Amino acid sequence: MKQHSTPSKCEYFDILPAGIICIRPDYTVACWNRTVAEWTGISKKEIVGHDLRERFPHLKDRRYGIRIQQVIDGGPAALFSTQFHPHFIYAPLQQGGQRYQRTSVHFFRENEERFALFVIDDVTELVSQVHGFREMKNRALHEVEERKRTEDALRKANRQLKLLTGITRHDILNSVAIAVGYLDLMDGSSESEKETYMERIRQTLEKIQHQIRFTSTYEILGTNEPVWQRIETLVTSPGAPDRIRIQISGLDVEILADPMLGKVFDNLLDNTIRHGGKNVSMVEVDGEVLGDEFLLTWKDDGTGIDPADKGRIFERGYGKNTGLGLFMIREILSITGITIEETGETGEGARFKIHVPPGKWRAPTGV
Amino acid sequence: MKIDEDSSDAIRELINIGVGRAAGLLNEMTGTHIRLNVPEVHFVEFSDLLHDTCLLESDRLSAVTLRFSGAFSGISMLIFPPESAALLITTLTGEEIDEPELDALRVETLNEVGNIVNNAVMGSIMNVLNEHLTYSMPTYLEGDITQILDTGRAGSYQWVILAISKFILEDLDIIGNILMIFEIGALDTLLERLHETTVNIR
Repeated sequence: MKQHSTPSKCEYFDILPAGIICIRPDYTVACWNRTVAEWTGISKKEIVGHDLRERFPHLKDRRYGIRIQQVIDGGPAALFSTQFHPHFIYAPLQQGGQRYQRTSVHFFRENEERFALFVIDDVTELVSQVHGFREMKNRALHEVEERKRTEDALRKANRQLKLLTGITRHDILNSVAIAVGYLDLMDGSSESEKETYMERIRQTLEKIQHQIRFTSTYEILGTNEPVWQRIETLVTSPGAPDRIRIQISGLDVEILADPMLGKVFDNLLDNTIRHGGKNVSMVEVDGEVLGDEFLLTWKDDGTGIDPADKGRIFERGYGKNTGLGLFMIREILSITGITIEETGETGEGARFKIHVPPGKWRAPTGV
Repeated sequence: MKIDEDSSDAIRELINIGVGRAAGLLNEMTGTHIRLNVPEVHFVEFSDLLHDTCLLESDRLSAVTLRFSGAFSGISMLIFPPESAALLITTLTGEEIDEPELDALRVETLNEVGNIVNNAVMGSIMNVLNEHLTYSMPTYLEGDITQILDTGRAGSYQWVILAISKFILEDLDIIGNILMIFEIGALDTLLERLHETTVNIR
């Protein structure tokens, strides 16, 4: 143990609520106040005159050594934050665990002798409060996020419900009006006319049946959370007739979309079969990454779309059959911000381009 | 005051050495791989500082300041836009949060990062000059640049060394500004001392 004079300020340090340690340039302890003695269980007697690093060997580490040396050399104070140095010196708590500390090291000179003064604050309570606040804030943020998601889902479900109710009411009422019209015409008409009207009524009833089936198929649209779906599996699953060959490439991706995404490809195939003409024999489905987006192209070798129809094919009720297939494709895709357009040349087949924005597509998980 | 090329090169070099040391220390402390470079060092008059530097335009900046006095007096400070500061701290501490923001603990951590950078830069200059200055306690300040600089005292400031430093960490590229603001005559004294030291070394 080295013999030195004690700095005159040492006795004042005992009344401070912070831990105070004062060392000489060779790290021998000159002052060790009452607070730090209580925290560590090491009395003044045991440590004053001894190298501080004997009790706290981590202070030999360069991370501390360089900065403390700069202070001893007369440099600016060094700060040691709680996040990087939570336990500057070992100071156990009665209930277990250690005190969180915030430490600063300052230079002072007395009688031509240089000292480094460590001021250690116990910030255990502050740390616990900040952690509590962070947890509370995170919980609140998650709850807001959850609420937003629920509201969004509710809004979408409501929109779909309105849409389908609209389709059902409007289209079925139209069909019923047509059937009633034919029934009126049957009064006083000939047998052969009656047969024709009966056939029309039967067709109208079939249409109503189809419309009711359609709404039951799509009533769940938008009511479930979007999910990641592998495109390759969805495109290859629809049962195409033997005369149509489906060729795919670049579809090894997953898309975040409404669980009804499979219906998009069913409807595109149905569109090709119904409207591609009798010579349609091939569908090519290609995927490629274009900048941030993923572009999926559905192309057939049928007759293509008439230029007069191009601008309206995605509108509800427009088309040769129910007029709902392409409309529903657009609705399903739009739930997650995916868009669709038709870019084919008449006479050379239909070509649908599906644009999947960034964040809504990814490489398959596990690949 | 005309600052010749040799003096400006010497200052640039000393700041470079300082930030290099600061980066080394931060890497050892945090176990991250942070790079800190000083691509640009400018000498500007204090009165022009508020108009010339768009980097300080934010109305909420985070600054860690260190006042020094002695043979030459002034303030050394490291300034960030607060969102960059929060991002830097959460990345350095390895926290995973969606929206970084500064709370009491992160402010204290930023204060330590600023303390390391300020001390390293001051240390690098003072080592060469073999001078001793008196330093105030490092302080964390938040506000626009006029609030941080305490423009009430602006009359006593003359020259500013502005070092625009990039904190390069993982995919982040955060700009931090190191400002050394000198009181009237202080930069002249610093440059004279530097000149004398260089002559003596030669």
